[in-house]
Amino acid sequence: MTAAEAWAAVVEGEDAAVFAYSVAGARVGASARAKALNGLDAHRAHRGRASALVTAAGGTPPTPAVAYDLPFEVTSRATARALMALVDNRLVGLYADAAEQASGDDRRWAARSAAENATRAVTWGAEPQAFPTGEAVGSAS
Amino acid sequence: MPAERSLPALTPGPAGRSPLALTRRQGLTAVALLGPVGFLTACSSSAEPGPTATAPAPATVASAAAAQENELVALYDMVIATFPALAAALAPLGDQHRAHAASLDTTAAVPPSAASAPASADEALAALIAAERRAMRQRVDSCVEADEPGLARTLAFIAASEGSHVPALRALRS
Repeated sequence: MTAAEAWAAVVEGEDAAVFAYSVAGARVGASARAKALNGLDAHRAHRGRASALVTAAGGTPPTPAVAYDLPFEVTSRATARALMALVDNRLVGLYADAAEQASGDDRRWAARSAAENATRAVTWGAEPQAFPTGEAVGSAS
Repeated sequence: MPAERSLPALTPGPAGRSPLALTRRQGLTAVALLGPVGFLTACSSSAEPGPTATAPAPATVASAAAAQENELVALYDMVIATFPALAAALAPLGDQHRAHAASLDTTAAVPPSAASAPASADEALAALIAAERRAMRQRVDSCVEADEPGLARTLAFIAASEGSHVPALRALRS
């Protein structure tokens, strides 16, 4: 994997996250709406920066899909939260891969972004994980 | 928002793909973000470490990070010993730090806790939150410093894990 490929995977991940947050954000309760919108903004901003890093690495940024098939229907607040937790946790691995391929400030941003996504996933109800060994633990919340 | 124009459908995953895969509908599935390889592996609760995740690490960055992970283990052990009611919730988090330390340096040992026991469970949780946030920043720094790319990946994952502990600990307060 090259740096351009790693960042392109992040762009695709963020595109999917923007879609997922758009769908799920409309279905969470009022108390979680602001958090979902903040997450949507964060994913859009990260998509932009990652796209610029693809270009900087000599690649061509991927374009977003029109729509994505979701792994489960978002029909409730619980499924909306689960979808946002899912896409956030999936991005952790993509940013870790980017950290491996990047250096300096770009690597720092990748590592911070991995942490930001993992943290937000838990606020949506995901369980804390020891990512390197992949062992999920019982929810402490 | 473009998403509002098309309601996502629930589709069973194609054969060989995880049913959890979130795939783009029009072509390009091979590069879709939620494809079965990178994305799912990275977030699945049963994810395997990447081939580089367990590679021998350069001594300085990895062993320093392992020592700091073990200091967190010692802090969790002390809090659990002082407030046994928190054991069920905290032990899994402490175990994740043990796993982090072991993935960085198998010879690292847990030091005796230098911290004095907090006066209350709430203070103990606040101390753990502060320690996790500090550790997350330290792991981001060590990720940047890592000479070996695989070590950088491992340290990014560990930073993410520590970030994920913070809201879990916050939920235990009150």
